[in-house]
Amino acid sequence: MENILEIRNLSVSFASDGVRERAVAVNGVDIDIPRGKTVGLVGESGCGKSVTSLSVMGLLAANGRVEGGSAMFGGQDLLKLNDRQMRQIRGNRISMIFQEPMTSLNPVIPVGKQVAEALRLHTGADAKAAKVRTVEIFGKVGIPEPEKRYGCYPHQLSGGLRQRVMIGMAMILKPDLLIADEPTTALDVSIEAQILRLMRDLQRESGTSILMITHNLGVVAELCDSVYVMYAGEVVETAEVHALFDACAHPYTRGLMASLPRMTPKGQRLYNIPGTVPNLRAMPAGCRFAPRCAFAVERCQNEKPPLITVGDGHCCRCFTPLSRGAAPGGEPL
Amino acid sequence: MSALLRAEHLVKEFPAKGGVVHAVSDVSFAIEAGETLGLVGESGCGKSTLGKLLLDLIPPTSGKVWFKDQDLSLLRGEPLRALRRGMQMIFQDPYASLDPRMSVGRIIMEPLNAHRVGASRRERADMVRALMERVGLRPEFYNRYPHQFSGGQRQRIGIARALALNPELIICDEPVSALDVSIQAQILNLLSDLQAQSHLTYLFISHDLNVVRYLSDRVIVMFLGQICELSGTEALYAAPRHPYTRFLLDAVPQPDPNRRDEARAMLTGEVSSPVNPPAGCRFHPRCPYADDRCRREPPQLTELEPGRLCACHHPL
Repeated sequence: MENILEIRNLSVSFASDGVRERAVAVNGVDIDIPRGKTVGLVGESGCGKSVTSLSVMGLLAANGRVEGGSAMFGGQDLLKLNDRQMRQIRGNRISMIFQEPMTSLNPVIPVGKQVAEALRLHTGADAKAAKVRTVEIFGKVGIPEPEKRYGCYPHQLSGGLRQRVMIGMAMILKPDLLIADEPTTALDVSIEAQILRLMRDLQRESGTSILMITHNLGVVAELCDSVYVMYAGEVVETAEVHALFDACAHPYTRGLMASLPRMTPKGQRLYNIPGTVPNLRAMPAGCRFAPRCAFAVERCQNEKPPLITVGDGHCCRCFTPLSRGAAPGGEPL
Repeated sequence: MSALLRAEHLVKEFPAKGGVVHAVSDVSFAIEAGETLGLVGESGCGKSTLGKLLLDLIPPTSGKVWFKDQDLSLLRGEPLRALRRGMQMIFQDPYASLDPRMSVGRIIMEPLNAHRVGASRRERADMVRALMERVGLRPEFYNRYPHQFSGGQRQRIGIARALALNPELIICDEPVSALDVSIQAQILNLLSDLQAQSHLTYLFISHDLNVVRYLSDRVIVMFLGQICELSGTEALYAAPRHPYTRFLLDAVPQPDPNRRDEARAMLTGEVSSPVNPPAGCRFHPRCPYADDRCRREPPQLTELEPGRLCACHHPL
């Protein structure tokens, strides 16, 4: 299958005040996003999932630096483009939506005008046609009273409505790739369900590929075709979505799944992964998950496991990948 | 079972631009000693306001709270202080609810000082160390500051502070919402352990239906300031009676890709505003079963079967 985006060996580091050594937040990450598919990127806070997408978009904070790797998109390496070239691609061919849409909307311009403006730049439509089309799109993404909302400023809309505006914008621009970073995390469940459905509609109509960055395994199961699981700056497992939920192979993935309250009846203890994520400046020498892993042996402490193939399109960074149905292992804390 | 706490026709209204916020409108229920009562609902449904009313942190517009058969509104001074020791709160944001300039030891000791527990400072310090151990914090961290801890550890600090006065009731307001899944599991296990050890009663406020299901014996579902359903947990999740509960349950993305194509009911529209809420049943503008009666007449919370209360003219 043709990939719309191929990230290879991406490494990103950050400087911080008073520390000479740079912290490596993303270390040798490979990700493929097939055309027209939705790829999930999951992991807990600080695992590098957002940094990965921000570096691809050229939106790293000033103290961040891409140390190496490539991100091939339509024959160009996004990591080698200058700001001007990148601006051509952002919005037009790759759109992003964030957890808080307020950060991507201009607070002093009515939302309708912002979308119409993008439409005019993109299609060359005249002002009147752009407005008509914008109102139409607002209706389509479920914004009540779209004519009235056209003139509203972002702060006058709820979080759910703002996210709809962003998705409406993406629907107009029909990007090849939509990067969605926790787009529903701040929303109530009933609104979340609507936004996820809208994203699916967008994909069906425009053939847009989606990179869905989330900590929520429910959202992954709902929307994604394939999944990458990140831990401490590295991809530890990747699989087709059913394979991941049926038979994940990495102890970290298994631990995450077992921690979900959904899977455990009341009265039984929840499985939890002992300990915490390692410090970026003090990574374990061997497997980065070894200090928290119930299956770790001596080799795991000293030697870095490679990403090995354990099934069709299923890879896992572990010397002893779990077989289907294995218990998460270890003692609950 | 006896009720540890009872809410009686609680109402809380706030003045607002363009009207009145009906945050809590005529809410009555009881929390039984030793149980975990879950309280779910979406943003603005009044669940946090209700939690604060129960603890007498804000005064109700009308209605009463009874804790251990005493009417909080009639108590003043020392008797009120004494009664309040029995009820504590854990907050959502462990970053915002801890004073960054106070050491962990002082944070946990504060309630002990306020209620003059223990004969000396040294005795209180020993109690703080014991509390830290109880919640899984190393007592050596006594002199550290909140920023030196992770989110999960900070929530443990908040729990230790809540436990300091040996309360009977703890109101947990979204205690794990800001935490990663693996850390969330650690805190939920800790809350279960503490309940088993100390016969604690919890009111567990959350928007996360999976977490509430795991922890609660009974669940209250709130919508725009009112209870729409109250039921035993398993019964509620297996067969909700209020249409709003049904929609909420259907909306939760489940970690099972085989279920994504299931036909699911989906709520349309935005969450209505608690400023000037709709007449009749407050849910009617979003309810596919609504008829004229729903638009006119607010449904009463009625017992459909033992232990199952629902406020709907057309229960499922």
